[in-house]
Amino acid sequence: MLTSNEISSLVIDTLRDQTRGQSVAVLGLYCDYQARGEQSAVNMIGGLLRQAIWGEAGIRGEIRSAFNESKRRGGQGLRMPDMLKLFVKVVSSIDRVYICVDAVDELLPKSRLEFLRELRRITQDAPSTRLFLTTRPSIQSELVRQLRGAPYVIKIVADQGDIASYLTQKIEDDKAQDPDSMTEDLKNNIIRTMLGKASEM
Amino acid sequence: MSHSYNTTTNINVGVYEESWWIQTWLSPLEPHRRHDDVSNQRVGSVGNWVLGMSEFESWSAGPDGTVNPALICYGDPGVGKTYIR
Repeated sequence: MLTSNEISSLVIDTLRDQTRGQSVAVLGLYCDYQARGEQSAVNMIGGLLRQAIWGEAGIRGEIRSAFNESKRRGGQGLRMPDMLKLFVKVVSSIDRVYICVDAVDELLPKSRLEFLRELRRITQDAPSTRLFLTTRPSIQSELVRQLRGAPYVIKIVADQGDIASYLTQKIEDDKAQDPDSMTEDLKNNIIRTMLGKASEM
Repeated sequence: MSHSYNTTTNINVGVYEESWWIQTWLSPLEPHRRHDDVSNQRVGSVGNWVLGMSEFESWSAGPDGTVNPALICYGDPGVGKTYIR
């Protein structure tokens, strides 16, 4: 089926391909109901920061000093204000930063509100950042409200190309199990019929 | 000679290990794993139409400050299910 995480992974891969070799970072997070305990707002921003410094030859000085400072204080993680400061500092040195977050509705409501608020602050403090968010319809209006202004909105629907792709895949899978059951004619017939049905709905 | 080789190796391992500790300290999340799984399972040209939408093009390519920085995609999980199952 066409799921939001497929769209998210497609957007992430496409942006990475298009911007290879440029000063551009494409950062991705997948929210997951089952991982909501550890997906706190500060861990989410930290997860983005990890990706932003990915591939750098060494750890940046400001991150290293924050780490050493925390070790002196008994090794706690960063608190949100310090995490944000580091994140904004790092992304401000990159020409363009795409932050892609899949299935925002799967976060705990409290984490979600804090995370969205901080994401909005990040786009204000670091104007080179762009946000890509996917969600179930139930909280779409909450997202629009939290982000202020007028974000771009696209409704995800399965178009005919999507349906044909899935059907082809499903038929190929069946054929692999029982090669004699499916002829090329029968396959094309099934796809044509299903697409006809889909367009009537 | 072999002594100095060992010394170099130890230093490199130390640097690598420190970097790993710092990254884990920043966040326990490892979202690239999930991304690789989803990417590998994606079928054919599914979802390509999103990339051609004018909203997507403005959002991704518009100069800073001239476009809204956020794009929201919403939909029911598993849209298109009714046609296929």
